Amino acid sequence: MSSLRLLALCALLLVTGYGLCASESGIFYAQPGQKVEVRLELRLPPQFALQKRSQFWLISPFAGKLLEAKASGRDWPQDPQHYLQSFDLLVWKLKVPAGTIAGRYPLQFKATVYACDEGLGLCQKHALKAVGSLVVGQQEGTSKLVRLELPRP
Amino acid sequence: MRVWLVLGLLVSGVLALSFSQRAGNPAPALIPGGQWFNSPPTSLQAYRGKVVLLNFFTYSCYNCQNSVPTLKDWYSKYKGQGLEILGVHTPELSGDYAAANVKQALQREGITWPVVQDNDSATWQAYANHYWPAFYLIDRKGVVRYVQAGEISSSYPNSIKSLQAQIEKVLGE
Repeated sequence: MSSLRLLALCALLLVTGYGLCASESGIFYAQPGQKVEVRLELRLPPQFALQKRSQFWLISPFAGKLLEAKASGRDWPQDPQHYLQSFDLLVWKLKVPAGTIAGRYPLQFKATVYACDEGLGLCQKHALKAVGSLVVGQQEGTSKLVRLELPRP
Repeated sequence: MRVWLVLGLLVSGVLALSFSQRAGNPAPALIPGGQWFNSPPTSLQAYRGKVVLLNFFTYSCYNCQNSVPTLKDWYSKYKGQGLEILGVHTPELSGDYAAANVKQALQREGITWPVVQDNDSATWQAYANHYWPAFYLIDRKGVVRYVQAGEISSSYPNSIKSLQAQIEKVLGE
């Protein structure tokens, strides 16, 4: 995609209220009948803790189902029941159905991210979206995880 | 050429959207439907001629709780000059939705100004808000004059100073 088209797409998505432009698209490879791990990295501004109720979804490119992944990691000492200070990659294990036609399949991620910042004394909630691709049945390249970034206040 | 025209329209749309709820624009209406506390159901229109500090908060939010003493101080100090505080209670955690819990929290915190529940985040979205606590200062003509997010307490003295200065400025007009 040319940078001009990407910029236009970013503008459109900002107009519609989504934060795709704060994301980086990823790419994953698999063969029909295989399982593939799809990974997403969430980045928060410094000093932010992630609310454990934050939700992360992947729309399966095969069944169209919403698949949820839970954030896990190290608890935030100030409120370990509700917040994570640092967190692991979010992982979805996708089964590529046997007989899937070779090609590039879109991966759509949706997230509702709750995060709090002690330094600024605020919490924030953002609905974010990201996209990636799953390449099926072709020569495998290097996978690249999807990145999602919460904007600074 | 056509691509640039489309891009230009999109970018101008982005800017319009980004700034639509910022200072200088009419304050969006409170979306009706939520339960009111400390007041019968009301609207921003009813407060024309007053300066309104619209506070997005939720009772379980630590930074929101810490901001209450400052709000109480301003409510008693500036109410006579025309300041009204309106709370918009937009839930963050599951327990925040129950009206009984909100009512109990308001009593516990000693909050006496009107508060409306915004359980479906309708008013939150109308303001394109993302923060707890957030403060929208609305002048006597119903225009948003200043927006600030984050705790206002002795731990954040600069936040108190900046918002208080704006309140006094708008009250003085």
